[in-house]
Amino acid sequence: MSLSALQIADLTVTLGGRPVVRRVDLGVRRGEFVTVLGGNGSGKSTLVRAATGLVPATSGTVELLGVPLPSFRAWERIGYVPQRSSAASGVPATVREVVAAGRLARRRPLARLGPGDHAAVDAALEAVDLTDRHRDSVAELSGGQQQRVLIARALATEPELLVLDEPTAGVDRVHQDLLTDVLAAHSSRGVAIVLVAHELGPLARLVDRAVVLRDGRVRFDGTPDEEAAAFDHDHDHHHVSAEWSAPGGAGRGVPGPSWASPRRLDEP
Amino acid sequence: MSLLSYDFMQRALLAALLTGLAAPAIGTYLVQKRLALLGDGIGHIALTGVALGLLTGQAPLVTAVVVAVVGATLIEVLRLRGRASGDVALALFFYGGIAGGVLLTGIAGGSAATLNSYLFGAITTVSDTDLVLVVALTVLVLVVSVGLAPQLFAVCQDEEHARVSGLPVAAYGVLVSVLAAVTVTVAMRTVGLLLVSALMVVPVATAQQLTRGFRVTLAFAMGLGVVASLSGVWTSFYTDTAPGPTIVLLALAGFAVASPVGAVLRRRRRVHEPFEDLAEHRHATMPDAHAVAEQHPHVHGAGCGHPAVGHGDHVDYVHDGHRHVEHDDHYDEH
Repeated sequence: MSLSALQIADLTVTLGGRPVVRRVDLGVRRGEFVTVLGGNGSGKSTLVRAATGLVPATSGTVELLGVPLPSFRAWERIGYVPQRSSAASGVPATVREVVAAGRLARRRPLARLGPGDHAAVDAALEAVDLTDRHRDSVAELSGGQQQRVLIARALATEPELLVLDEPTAGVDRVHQDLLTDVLAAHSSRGVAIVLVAHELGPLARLVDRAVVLRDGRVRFDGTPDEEAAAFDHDHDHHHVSAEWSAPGGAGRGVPGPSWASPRRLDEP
Repeated sequence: MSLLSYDFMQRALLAALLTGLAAPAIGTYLVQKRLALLGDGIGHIALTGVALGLLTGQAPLVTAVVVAVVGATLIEVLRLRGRASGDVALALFFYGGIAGGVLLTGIAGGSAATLNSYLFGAITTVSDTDLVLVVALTVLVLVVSVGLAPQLFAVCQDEEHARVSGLPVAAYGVLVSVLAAVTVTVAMRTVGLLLVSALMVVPVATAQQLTRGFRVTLAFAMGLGVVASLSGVWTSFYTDTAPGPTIVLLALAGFAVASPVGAVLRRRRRVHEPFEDLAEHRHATMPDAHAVAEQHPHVHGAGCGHPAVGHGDHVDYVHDGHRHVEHDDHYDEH
């Protein structure tokens, strides 16, 4: 069995003729917790979307759990939380129905949900503290609660690699702490976690490695402590706002996180 | 004279029953994808198919199925490839379809009157051959839309997550579009091309006024579709009105009744929804959280008129926008 959960090599992704991810190398071992940080438009979302096959790679390779992406079929081993503001669609759906969609990778068409499926859905609902809302329509929940529904859907898959694209946007502090405990439990069981984030919040204590992207390239790859030292900023302020990232914009002269400015970085 | 003693009415009722089941079944997925008007667009594309049948001497029902399926597939492919958003892709084919239909009918020497029975349905002239085709296509639509409900639900709910679950998203997307095309052409003989979209959407809109879950909405919409179709045919027989519009107007009347009822139900549910049991409340870590409700001569209890709402291990009474809970000889604000 391969020890690698995710292996990205020399990956370039071009969207609409524009290179968004440029020659990125990134390896994630089983059980490792890696966070991908960066400002708006840094390519962090596109990187994980390419890693899960949602956008095609222009060049380079991706291996999921030791298997090259084009021939990867074991999707029941991958959990994915897309970057979405809402779990609702045009027709009402209960919290439970949305979370149960996380079991589809394990179900044959026309097969019914088995006891194992129900147990996994129950556990996922319990993990995000939505058990008592399971029969409610997702559209009736708040934005943060809907985000927790999407996280529960990924947990219900019982994955070996969990990819979360900004899962804590709009989630309150109490439930961020709860999510931190849930991810810590999964991480200690050997689940590899790739977390795309603007702001780590309480999740910071779980992170083994931080990867900072800027303009589609990896600008930093190391432990969170090294990252904090390298970028000379307090660790609790892992957010890069659009104003800060825009050079010459309204925020000119305002000191921001240093990865938003060229100093200290190995510019080519 | 009972309406069931006429052969043509028996066939009409059977056709109405099947259309009433199939149209909302597939329509639920279209509404979920926020492509509620896809049925209407396909109806107009099918018009070209009908004209093609008239022009070439083939059965219009068959050519309509073929053209509608091709058109529906192209709309979905355009949408999936990101070449055009769903509604723009739909509009392109919508206009192409109606223009092609009118043009070809003219060439075939027909007139608007020829198209009329397809546009608005002619349920009382359904033949045995029509009926066999309608039964076969309806069974197909029902098997897929009910049997593959978990998969189609996931694809229409969140395409990206469905893709990372390994589901063949494009194939399922095309399948929904093709089934919509099949349903539209089947309904051509009952409610007609122009009104079938209503039967795909209106029962779903009515159902979701009262439901919270997807499966319940799907089942309820199918039930409403059957009721509207059968009662529409029945009403039109006795009032001598056109069946298609009667069915659609009855379906809309259902929505008009369900909408205010749904609003009341949702409001009632929201009032009685338990308050979130936050850790701060449980551990009483905030000493200043103890706020006493002032001047409270009223005693809360069962039937006091104030909604009792669960809040962790106790009950809050909602009183003029405040949340009151009994504490010794007074009420606390929660």
